[in-house]
Amino acid sequence: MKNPDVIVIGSGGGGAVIAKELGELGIRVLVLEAGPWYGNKKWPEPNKNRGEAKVSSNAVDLDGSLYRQQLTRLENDMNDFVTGKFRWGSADRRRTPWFRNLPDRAVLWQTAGVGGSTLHYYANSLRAFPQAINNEWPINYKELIPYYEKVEQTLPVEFAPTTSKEALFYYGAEKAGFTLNKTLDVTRVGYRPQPNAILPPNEHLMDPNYSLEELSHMEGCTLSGHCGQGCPYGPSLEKMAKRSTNVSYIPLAMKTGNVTIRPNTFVTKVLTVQSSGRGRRAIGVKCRDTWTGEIEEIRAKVVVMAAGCVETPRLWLNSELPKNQWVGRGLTNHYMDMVTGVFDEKTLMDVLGSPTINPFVGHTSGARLDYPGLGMIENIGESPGLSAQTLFGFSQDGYNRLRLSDSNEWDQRGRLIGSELDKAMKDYRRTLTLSIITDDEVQYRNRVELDPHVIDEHGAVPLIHYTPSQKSRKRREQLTKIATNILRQAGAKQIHRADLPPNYFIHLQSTMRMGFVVDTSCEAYQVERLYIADNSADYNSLGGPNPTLTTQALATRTAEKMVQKYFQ
Amino acid sequence: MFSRLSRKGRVRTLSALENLEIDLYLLPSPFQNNAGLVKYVTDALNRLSMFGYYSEWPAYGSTRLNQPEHRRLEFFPLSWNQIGYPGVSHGYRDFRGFLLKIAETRVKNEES
Repeated sequence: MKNPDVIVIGSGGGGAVIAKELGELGIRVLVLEAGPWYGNKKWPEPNKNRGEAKVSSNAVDLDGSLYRQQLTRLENDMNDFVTGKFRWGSADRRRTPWFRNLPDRAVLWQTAGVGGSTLHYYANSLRAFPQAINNEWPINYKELIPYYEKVEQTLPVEFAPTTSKEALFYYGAEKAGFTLNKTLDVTRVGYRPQPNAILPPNEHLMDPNYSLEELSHMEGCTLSGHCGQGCPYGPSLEKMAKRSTNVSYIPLAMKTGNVTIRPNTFVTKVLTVQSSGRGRRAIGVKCRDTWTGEIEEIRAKVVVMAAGCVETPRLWLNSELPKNQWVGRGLTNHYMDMVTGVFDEKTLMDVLGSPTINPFVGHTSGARLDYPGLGMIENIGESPGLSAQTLFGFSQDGYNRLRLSDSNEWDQRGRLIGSELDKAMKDYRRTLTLSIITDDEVQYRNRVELDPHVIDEHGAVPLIHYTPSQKSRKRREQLTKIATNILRQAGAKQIHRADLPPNYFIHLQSTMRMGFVVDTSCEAYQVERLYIADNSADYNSLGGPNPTLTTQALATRTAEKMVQKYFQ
Repeated sequence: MFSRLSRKGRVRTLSALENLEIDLYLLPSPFQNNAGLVKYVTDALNRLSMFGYYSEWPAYGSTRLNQPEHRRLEFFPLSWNQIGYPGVSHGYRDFRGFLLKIAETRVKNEES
């Protein structure tokens, strides 16, 4: 596409949404994505070679069977942080991942590729807690509702079906004294199914006349448990059960006839000129082809940064844009923890009517307890490698065996090794894991900045610092105790606490905060025609809920505001 | 040296590294005086070993050390047999109904 009206940097949770919305309003959009494109006929071997085409703009290029062949659902092939297809790195997996300097025990889980981190996300599509928006953000919750509704209908979002692990969670939550909260707008404590961007199960799922393989080619979730591996199940690419943006908003964007998407293209600089209005004005970008190393400049009337909470501030800083002391500052990550309960067969027979839970069945995360003021708790059932790594291999408390404290609250705490690990994983099918997700307080010291010593092919690399505040620590302890009690009430015989390190980044937010770096329409205060459409624009961590839906609602709103200002 | 230690000795060594109970000046580059990197790498050694063992990686057998595009599954992962994970699935018949549907929240909103 020559001379697009708008360049969108990144095609993840936010970028894909703003591209589709702008396309529908008649604006010509070029989306630049750093990673590969899975499920597009123009790149039949996206990890092996650069392909013959540079861009794709027609939905006939999308191919569900190709997508299924590429997304093998094998966790090492898909999720390995170093060589997996869903990694933060170039399409060419012979190359190392793109480096971020995290000087601590750390996991930063982002994916480069069309769809961005929604490729691996669990599709949890939560509205923010109203109390975390009202009187906090520069806009109020009511203003967001029509946009939430639009995104919920487009993805679409539905409450998760119940499988064994959800049934056991609801049972434990009831016994712990909580009640069902039938709402999308949470103002009180209660449990409920996760509102997920996953198509409801096919009506024939329980009918043995249909084989599971047949069902996996039909519309609807098959409860396969492969959310984290991308879930390529459905009759066509745009009807895949899990609604990553590459199967939801990207096809819709292409159908407007106004949106072109170019993968394998890393933006290294936002180009600006001096302007009388806000100081600087965005006029385009400089980018690099990740296969060939070719560098070029592309001009547009407006530039949208949707590169995520780490790369958006990095790009700002590498572009030598005006100084703003809040760029990259205020990073939140929901300071998480995990507790895992082991159940015996008799308890499970009594509660579920079956001797196992099989945590790998169903939506990876299908049930939740909302706790405004503290955060939330959700169940989680990952595949074995990811479970072992996160639950038993990653801890701020070191090795359970070397533990000095003798608290009785948890039977085990921290990393497991040898026979302990062997035993824990042999119990895997009878475990229920709860994830603690904290209403994480914004701190100026928590940040993404440029590493002064390390430069890669895209410029100075990001250096990330995060230590939770006292308030966040307290909230996490309280939530961990509540989650532990839910497991005990449900009948868990043994409970393990991971005690995750603080630098566990899944819900990164608020590094380019509204009211500090961008205004209420998400345009940069100091650079006109430069917008942000990712989690970095969030004012805070939403009270605990998963951030994607709010980013998507904001991106929808931003598209409207931008068109009103610059294209009418 | 490390491989000659007892199991417990190896764990204690890793623990000392991640807790920085060592003289960072004595480490070789790039770890010398680089506490953050020592912590990151020690942690990753644990995580990546566990992820590797309990994922399908060992089942790439003789191709397991190849570049990812040239690995082929040669058998069913031993660890998955040990723990009873059935492997890649097309789906499971464990649908127990819906506790709540979005339509119900809309009705409630209209009433209020």
